[in-house]
Amino acid sequence: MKLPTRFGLLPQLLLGFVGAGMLVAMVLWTGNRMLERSSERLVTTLERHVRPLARLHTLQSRLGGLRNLELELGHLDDVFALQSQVTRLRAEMTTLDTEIGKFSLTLGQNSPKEAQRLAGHWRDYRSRLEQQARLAADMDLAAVRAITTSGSHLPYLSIQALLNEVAEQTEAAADLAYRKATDDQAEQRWDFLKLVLIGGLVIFIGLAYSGRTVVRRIGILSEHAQKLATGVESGHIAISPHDEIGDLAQAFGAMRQQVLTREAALRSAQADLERRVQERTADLKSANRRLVRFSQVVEQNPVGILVARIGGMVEFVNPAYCRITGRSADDTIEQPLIEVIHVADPLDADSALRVATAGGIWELEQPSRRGDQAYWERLRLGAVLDERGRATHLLLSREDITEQRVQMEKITYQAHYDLLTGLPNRALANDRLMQAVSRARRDGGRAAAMFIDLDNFKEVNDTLGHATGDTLLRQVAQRLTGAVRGDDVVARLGGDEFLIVAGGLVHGDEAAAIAEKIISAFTDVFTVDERELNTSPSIGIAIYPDDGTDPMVLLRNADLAMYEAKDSGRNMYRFYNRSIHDLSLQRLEIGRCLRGALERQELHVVYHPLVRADSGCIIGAEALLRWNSPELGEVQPALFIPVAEQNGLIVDLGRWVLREACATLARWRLRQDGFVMAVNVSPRQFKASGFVAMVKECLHEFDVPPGQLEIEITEGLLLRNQDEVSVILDELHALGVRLSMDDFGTGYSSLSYLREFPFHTVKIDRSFIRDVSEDRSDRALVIAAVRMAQALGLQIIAEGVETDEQWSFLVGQDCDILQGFRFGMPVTESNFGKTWVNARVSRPEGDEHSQGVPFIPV
Amino acid sequence: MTWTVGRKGFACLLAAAMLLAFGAARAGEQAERALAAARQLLDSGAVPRNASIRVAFKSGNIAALLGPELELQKEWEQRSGVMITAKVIPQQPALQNLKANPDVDLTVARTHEFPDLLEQGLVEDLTPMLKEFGFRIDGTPPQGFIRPRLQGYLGDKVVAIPADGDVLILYLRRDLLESPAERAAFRKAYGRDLAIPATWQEYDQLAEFFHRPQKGLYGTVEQRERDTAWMFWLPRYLGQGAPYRQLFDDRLKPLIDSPAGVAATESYVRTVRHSAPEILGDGKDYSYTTPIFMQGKAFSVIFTIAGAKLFNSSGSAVRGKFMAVPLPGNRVGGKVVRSNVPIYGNNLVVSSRGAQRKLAFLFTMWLTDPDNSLRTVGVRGGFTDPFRWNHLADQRIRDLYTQEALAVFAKEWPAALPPGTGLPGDGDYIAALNQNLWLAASGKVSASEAMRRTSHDWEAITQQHGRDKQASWLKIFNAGFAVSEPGAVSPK
Repeated sequence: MKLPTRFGLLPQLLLGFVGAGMLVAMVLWTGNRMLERSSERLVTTLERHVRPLARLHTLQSRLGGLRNLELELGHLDDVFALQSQVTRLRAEMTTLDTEIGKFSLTLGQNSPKEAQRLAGHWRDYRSRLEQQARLAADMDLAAVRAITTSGSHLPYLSIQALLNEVAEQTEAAADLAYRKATDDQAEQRWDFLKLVLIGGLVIFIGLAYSGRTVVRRIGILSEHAQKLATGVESGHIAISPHDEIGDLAQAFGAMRQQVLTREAALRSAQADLERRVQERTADLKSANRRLVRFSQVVEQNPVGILVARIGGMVEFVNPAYCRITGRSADDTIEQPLIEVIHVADPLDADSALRVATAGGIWELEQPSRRGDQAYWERLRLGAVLDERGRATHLLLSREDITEQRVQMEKITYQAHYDLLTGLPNRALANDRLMQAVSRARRDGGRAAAMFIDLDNFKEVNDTLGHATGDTLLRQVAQRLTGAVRGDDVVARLGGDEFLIVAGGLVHGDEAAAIAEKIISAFTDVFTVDERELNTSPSIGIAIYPDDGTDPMVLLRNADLAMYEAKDSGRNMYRFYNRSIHDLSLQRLEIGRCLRGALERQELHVVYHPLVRADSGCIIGAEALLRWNSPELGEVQPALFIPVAEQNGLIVDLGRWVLREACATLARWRLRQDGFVMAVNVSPRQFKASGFVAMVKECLHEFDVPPGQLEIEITEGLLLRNQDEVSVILDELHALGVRLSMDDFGTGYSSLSYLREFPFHTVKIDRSFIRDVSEDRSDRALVIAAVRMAQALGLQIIAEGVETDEQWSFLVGQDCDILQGFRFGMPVTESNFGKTWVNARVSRPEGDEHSQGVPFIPV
Repeated sequence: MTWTVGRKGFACLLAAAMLLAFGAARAGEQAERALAAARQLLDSGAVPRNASIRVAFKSGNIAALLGPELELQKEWEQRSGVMITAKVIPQQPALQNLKANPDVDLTVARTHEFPDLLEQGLVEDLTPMLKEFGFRIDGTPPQGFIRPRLQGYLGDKVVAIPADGDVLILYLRRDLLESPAERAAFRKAYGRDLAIPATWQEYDQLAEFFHRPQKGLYGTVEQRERDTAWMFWLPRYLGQGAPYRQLFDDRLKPLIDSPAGVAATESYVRTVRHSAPEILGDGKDYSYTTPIFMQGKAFSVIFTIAGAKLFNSSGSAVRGKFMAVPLPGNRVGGKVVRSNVPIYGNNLVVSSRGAQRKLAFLFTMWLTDPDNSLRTVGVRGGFTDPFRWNHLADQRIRDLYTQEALAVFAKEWPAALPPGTGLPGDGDYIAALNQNLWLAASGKVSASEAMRRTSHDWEAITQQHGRDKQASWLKIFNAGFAVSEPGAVSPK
């Protein structure tokens, strides 16, 4: 088959463009020539007629201006203005002379008569103006005005009329020529339009034919391309391959095959890609949520956070950081970390960066300032690692721990100091004592623990209230602090107990000097709420290493020594020694053995006779407790009674004694009418609950008349809780029981007690009776006591009567009852029953009343 | 004492003026500063964009102050962006013009009008604006103003910017004075040489000698009409020597009712009989007298430097035939005492009621710049005469006025004294003086009666204004002229 001749698109297009271009060029050239000719005719017409009109108009304007100058000239009255006006007038005349000359020449070509008329009128007018200028120079203004009015007016009007006439003629001719020119131009334009239309039609037909051929073939290609794009199968492309479009069709066919193959692969890859994108998007969303949450955590974290590049500048601070440091983010960000870390010691900052950069954590608590405000902060610096574990940034956290510090210091203070007095408390005192001991051990010196207990403080506290007691304690603390050396430690252990730790001693005697200063400091009375109070210290001293090497042992030994001081009469100091230690051990042993002694029947009651002074008749007995321990042997009441009082056994022992005494009384009263049984009651037993009931029960149980039972209490009992004691005494009194004040004279010996409380008997302490023969003061006191009791209607019992002189003296003072070894030792119930019930003691020799039983030693 | 100034003297004078130029503003700098300040006011919004300056000038001032064909106005408007609205006002005192035109920003006033204008609050004290815009009223040659204290100040306050210079000059007919026949005749008649008059007495003799009305020549056409009488009387009075260099003593007692006042009046009256017949007529001012001299019909006339421009013009019959000489004086104690006063003078004042006072001031600053002001002096249709030292060296101005006249003009300034009374009510004081001088010149009262009447009138005016107030104004006025000014050449 013979292929058609190949004729490419480029030659086709070139041929088309050249043909069309030549046609357009021909049309344009022809049109241009026509328009040029028309325009030239129009310009020629304008030049010929319009320019003379313009020149004419200018001439008329200048002439009008000249006329104005002329008119003004006659009305100027100032010589200088006039001169100026004349100058301007002459200049205008000269100008117009030239202008009119030129115009006349032009006008003369077409209208010679008009040109001659114009020249003549101008000469006439100019001569008038010259005349006015001369007159004006001479200031002859009237003449000037006359010429203006009558002389120059007519020439001026003639010129103007002629110029107007010429202007009208010129304007009419110009109008006619202009209309003809514009008509010619319109005709030429129509001819040109027709030529353009013909040319355009030829080009349109050529383009339409070429376009239709190309468009149809491209349309076939487009149809196949659309089918390919929408995935519709298409058949063979029927385009002849004689030009580039045919080539394109063949190439398109090959390309379509490749596209279909690749499309299938792409669809598979796209599905896979979309799945991965979805997964990645989900991961990113999750990561973004975490990031936002972490960002909020950092932003809202109360701990200040700063992030800086390693070796670089600060990149971020959270609001808490700015709030804690008082420095704005602008002042901190983009600053070197070393400059914003703000630690007191620059070496700390270097160290911090070194530690953190090396992967460690650096921490510091330090006082700092935020403007004028001081605060405590905790700094923590560490490295921030990236996903590969490399340190890229440093994280500095800053926490305001002022409140924690304050609380900690408060707790520390409360843990170590007594809040009432401000002195170190027991815990800190122990610590100081340990330090003093350690120092003494190191230096080969001595240290002293001085245990102080206030005498009578409990009475003050009970009677005047805790507020007064607290005030007194604060004053005591001040005096103690003032009395010791600068390095000594004064501490309050609790209640009215104080401890002084004195270190740096060479000899133990130096502690004595301190103790004496302390005692001296208490000489003056204390004043609390305008009330004068007396108290004194009892001081026990233990020396390291003589009295112990362990601080706790020293403290215990000082405590024991303090008790020794108390027992020795108070307001004094005592050094710890072996006997104190032994006594302490003894007291412990007694306490231990005393427990269960009652059950083991180791205790028994003895009775000491009460003798009527004037007759020597036995009127009763005082029941006294005795203890015969299998381990300790016969234990003196003075030893075991305080221990029982201290450990509370006294309540049970007292009850037992009362019951024993009542039982005995029940038997003896049958033998001796009115026999009285006196029983000692300790303070603790007296105030124990149910004491009165117990007494009542005993009286009832043993059928004892209340008036034959005498309860003895000491003055000390009355000092505390007077109201409570008063109630009990009143109840006992109501029972009918006799009440006796024991050991009168050893305590306060207050007359008011005797008057206020329902006592029946007063017992004068043996210590006054013992020296009554030699000591005038004792004698005076006894006499006074007897007189006082008599005045109050109370019975007097004198204790400790051992000699006849004492008996005689007491009889002489009208003492009622006597008790003492002069009459015999306390004996057991059976012995007393045999010897003393219903008995009588013989009076001393020479005594007119002497009669009855002789002295029978027990 | 003789005032003869030739080419050499004039050159020396200018050279001296040049030597004193140190510190004076450079030409053009003042104008550029004014333009920059005006533009800044517009740019900053201190004045609105469409603001315009309202100026009110007499017809003869328009060309001088806004330029021929308004070229200065156009240039100012183009360069500053501020428009100028000009208005022509009649030839009457500035007091009346300013009262009649309250919306005006800028106008002109004569020196002796300052006290009334300032006292009535019609014009602005320019001192603060001078300071604000860095404008110095400098009296230093070769660029400075000529005797600015005489034309711009009242006490220490700057009231106006000088824009004209109008001291009096005596013009004589050189051709007659140098004519051998006339010289011979004069010697025969008076027994002395015909020469330039040194005293008013010699001036009278010359007027008498040349007064030939039947031949169309008057001895003098010095003005004698009523309204300008004080201008030609005052140099005669002030030239009587101390204490008559002032019109009042410190307590406002007039000094004119005195031998000095009478002598001055007699000298003033004496010229009438050697003058033109209508010389006493109302309105017969310089527009009447100068054309007579220009037409060659008078031997002498006294007028400002503008006379030289007029007489030297192309239409003048005396062109090349006249000479300008200093005013005569009085012989006092064997010496001739001379004095002069600036009589007219177009000084620029800023209205205190104007809306654009600062812009008006800046336009004045621009206009009176050494370079720009050259374009206002001696222009066609303008009244402005030289008022800066540099004007005297400009060739166009020298050709216009003649070099000889300008030299005399320069030398007359040192002898000049302040015009007018320096007091509020100056118009009334001057009017009373004018009236009585006119009566004396008309022969209706004697010279002594004229002075007595004037003195009486002045006392009444003083009483009306308050003596203490007037005394304080007089103190300010006098103190201002006690200040020495640079650039003035001492008279010899």
